Amino acid sequence: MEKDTLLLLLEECKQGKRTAQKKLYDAYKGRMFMVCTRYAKSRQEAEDMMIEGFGKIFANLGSYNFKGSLEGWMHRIMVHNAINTYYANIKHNTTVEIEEYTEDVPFAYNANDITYEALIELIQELPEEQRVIFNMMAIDDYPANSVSENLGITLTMVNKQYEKAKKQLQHKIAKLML
Amino acid sequence: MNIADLFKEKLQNQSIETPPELWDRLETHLNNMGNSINQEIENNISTPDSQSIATSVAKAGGWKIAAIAAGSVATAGIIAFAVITNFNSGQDNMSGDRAQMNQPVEENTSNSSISQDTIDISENIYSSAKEEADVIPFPIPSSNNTSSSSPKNIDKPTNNNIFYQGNDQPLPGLSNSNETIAKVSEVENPAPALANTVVDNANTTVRETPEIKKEEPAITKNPVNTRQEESIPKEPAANQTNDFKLFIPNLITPNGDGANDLLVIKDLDKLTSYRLRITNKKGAKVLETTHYQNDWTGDHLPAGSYFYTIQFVFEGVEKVQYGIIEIIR
Repeated sequence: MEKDTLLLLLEECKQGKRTAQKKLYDAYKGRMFMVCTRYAKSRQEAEDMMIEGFGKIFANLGSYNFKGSLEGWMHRIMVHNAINTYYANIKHNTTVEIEEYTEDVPFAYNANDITYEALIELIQELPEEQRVIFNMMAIDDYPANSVSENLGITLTMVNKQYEKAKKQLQHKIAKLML
Repeated sequence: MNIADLFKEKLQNQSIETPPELWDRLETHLNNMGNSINQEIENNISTPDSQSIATSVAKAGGWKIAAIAAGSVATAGIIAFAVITNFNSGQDNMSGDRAQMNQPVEENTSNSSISQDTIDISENIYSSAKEEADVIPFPIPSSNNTSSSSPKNIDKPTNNNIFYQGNDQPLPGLSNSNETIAKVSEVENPAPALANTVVDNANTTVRETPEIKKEEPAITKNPVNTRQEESIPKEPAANQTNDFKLFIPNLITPNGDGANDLLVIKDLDKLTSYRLRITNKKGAKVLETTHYQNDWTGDHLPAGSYFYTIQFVFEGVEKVQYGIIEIIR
């Protein structure tokens, strides 16, 4: 999207015009829904997160200061929204880990062998905490200390859970490819 | 290739198909957000009183008069409100804004109807609660078979009762059934305090007359054949005119301030004999005595509820009294 049209669109969005908001939504919905789907444990939750996140985006458009891309800003809002959902979930959900994977599995697959839908399913099967940590660290490039700050978990615990998540995913992919 | 890299490559900039109905949901969400802001403004302008009264009544749930008053105020508010909104919408050209303007009017009407509903419901609840109260009376202990008539005195101990599990010994000085008399005559080890003169007397007098005189108490240790006594009825059968009752406080505060520091039971000296037992909530014994000196301060036990049972013989009639002692520190 060109910068001038984007500016105009943002201005109209701030005034609360539905048509402009719909345009902005249509421009970014695919990627933002991807973010929500990764962080959510189900499609239903992803949709809820999407609606809530876009509500926050439209409400706080005024605070976007044009440093960095708009997409990056929206992405950050979505991730923070996902973290809020995580906090709400761990209040009444306790995850019980049944399987513990100890041995390493050799990892030798092409990226083309596997579809992204399958990967999303694998991520969604992870326990709450591991899912958020893996999403933030592996895919969204958050450093470990930032994750630890955002989630209120110690740094060692973050790294431990990250390793666990990776190990689990590795085993699941190995099973999938058999 | 690392597993994290695989996920990153596949998912980082991937877009995914979004369900088309999601925009509609988002739109309603945005409408609600906008409306809540607009509504606040509107309420401040037009009829804050009717709104606040109606909502507070709806929250409080069910004072009929207040609700009716609020309902009338609310309807008055609606009329005034409708006038204002019509006036505004005449000036305003944007259809979307007008829709939002009209929203609070509906809000008002729904509010009044809600308060009306809550009245009905709360009345139903109230009446049903009243019915229940009629059906289920306050629990009164059964007093059909014993001498004492006071509701605090529960005179018929059953074998299921927690206070009567374990060493059930007949109290000395008891005089009502022949079996008990036989038991008293089998006394072997009289207690040192009172029994030095009395045991022989008790043996003889009890054998002869079914009534023991009050001046001749006999404190006994347990006879050997305790287990056979379970069939013995514990409540007196003959003397039922006696409604003597001990006063036992239900609260002690052993904090050293001089008030209610001790568990004081009055009239203990009037009793022929007695056995006082205090247990905690789990049924563990914390005190058992037959010579209570009105000196129990709770023995550094934690604060809470404790249960007392006192079996006593007064004028030849055995009674049991039990209840709760609260310790507050």
